Amino acid sequence: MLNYLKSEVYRILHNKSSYIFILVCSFLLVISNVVLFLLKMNEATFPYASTSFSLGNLCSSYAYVFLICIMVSGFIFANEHNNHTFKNSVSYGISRGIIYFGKLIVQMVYAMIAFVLIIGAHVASAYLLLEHTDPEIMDLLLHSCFAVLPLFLFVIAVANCFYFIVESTGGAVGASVGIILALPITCGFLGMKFDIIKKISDVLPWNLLGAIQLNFDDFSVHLFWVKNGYMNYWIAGLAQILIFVILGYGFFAKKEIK
Amino acid sequence: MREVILTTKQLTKKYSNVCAVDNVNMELKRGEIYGLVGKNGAGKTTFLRMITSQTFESEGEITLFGLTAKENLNEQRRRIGAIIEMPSFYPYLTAEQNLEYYRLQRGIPGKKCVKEVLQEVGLSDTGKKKFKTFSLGMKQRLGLALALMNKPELLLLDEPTNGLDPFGIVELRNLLIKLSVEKNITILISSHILTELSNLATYYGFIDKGRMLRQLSAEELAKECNKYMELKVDKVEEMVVLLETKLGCTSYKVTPEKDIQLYEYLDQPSKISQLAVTNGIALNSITVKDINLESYFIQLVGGVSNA
Repeated sequence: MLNYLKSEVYRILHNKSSYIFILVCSFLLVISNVVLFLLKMNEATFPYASTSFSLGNLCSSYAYVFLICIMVSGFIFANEHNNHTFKNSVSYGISRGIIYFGKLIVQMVYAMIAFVLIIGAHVASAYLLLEHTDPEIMDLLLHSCFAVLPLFLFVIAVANCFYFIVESTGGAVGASVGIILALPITCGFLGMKFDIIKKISDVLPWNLLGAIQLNFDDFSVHLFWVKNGYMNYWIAGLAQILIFVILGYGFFAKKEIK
Repeated sequence: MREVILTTKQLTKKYSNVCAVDNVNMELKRGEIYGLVGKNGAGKTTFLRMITSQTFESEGEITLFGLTAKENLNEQRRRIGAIIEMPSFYPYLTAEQNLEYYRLQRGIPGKKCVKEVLQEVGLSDTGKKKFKTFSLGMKQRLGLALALMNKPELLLLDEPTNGLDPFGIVELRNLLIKLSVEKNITILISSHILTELSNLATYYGFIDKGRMLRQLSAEELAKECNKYMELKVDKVEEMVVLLETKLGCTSYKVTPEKDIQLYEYLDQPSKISQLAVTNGIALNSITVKDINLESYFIQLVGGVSNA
């Protein structure tokens, strides 16, 4: 496994897309702070050129990150089916298990590093360019990140599962979006009629993300579960990750490599 | 006696109702160059894909270096180098980067093996050229480099001459002979062109519609493809007796059509005709014939329409 991880890290480090993705996302977030800064320069009374507004905005945008995770998983997966590169590994006796879990680990680690770097760039530029207001906003950011992290990892696990099972990238993205977005929304509607479906719907990651409320008055995070909220978010996230990891590996273990 | 390094027993692959490989039994001994010959779609690639675990057998068993699937066959695959179908690599990496990626993955110690193997296949000067810009011949060479990088004991090559120019084919053939002679690497090579293997293989297997039709050594094949004299006579049994007693012939065959195929006295047809005439046997025709490798293969698979 260690050798497989080393080789994947080598490949990612030699792929421009790995850097371009982080740079583009960081650039867009930094630009948003630059715009606030310029507006403040233009109009001294502009009220939103502050760290609390900028970081608060970031905390409210996790849904985008949710969807971007599908893309991250995709480019780390590296179009293995179309490149027909799995066969070089399998022919050498590298087990399908090592390949599946190796890819998953690398995707999750890359996603977390990218997340830290991108958020870091945003926070740094906010503190450099904008007025420092409400220092508690950093606590809010860190707490909310801790709550949503298992949900992001769930998206990676689902996308990885479908990239392995479905040979076309479009098909894999479609299936992932179906599970990540369409299923919770549909369950949400059906939950209005059937109580059991509502219970399932409530713990689906997209709905758990939607249930997060950020209070900017006292800078507190309100989760779906009032008691043991963070732990329950992690348990729900990890349990659902497990389902898709088992499902994806189960299919891949029997899959023909072309 | 040479060690058997690959055995398949009743190896079968079924896709719903289609049997791509049907009860194939074969043995590959150390040092052999085994030519697996069959037309397109005969089952050669599926057979090789089962050995390399890209696809799973429906029935039967593979034994590699003495171990079966129950005894960690996968571990033995690390002693194999393989190119199955077209060589495939990451398009955005260079030749060296692609090989370095697999070197790390396979845990092969020492970075210099990458440069050495690129030199061996003639790709040492590709520099920063990405794999996606490689010609077909360069891709084949890189595939071969990957297959050789782990210093394999067994090399599995699926139609490796595809995309190579005539010079490339000769170079590849010489390289394979060198690997076999100098490094005692056993080679299983598939092709749909029998003549391509004719100066290379030491053993042949002919496969068609998933079934192994015939397996024979290069010497046996050469014998079967030898020139022979075809005799059409009215009294076959008597002629055979005369050939044996008067001329001491032992190398002949009587075909189901009652023709005699004689592998001796090819340069003395008059002696044969004289023998027949003086003993009252009507000699309807006497022709010297030979079978080339293509004709042999076509005959084996049952005629041109099937080949």
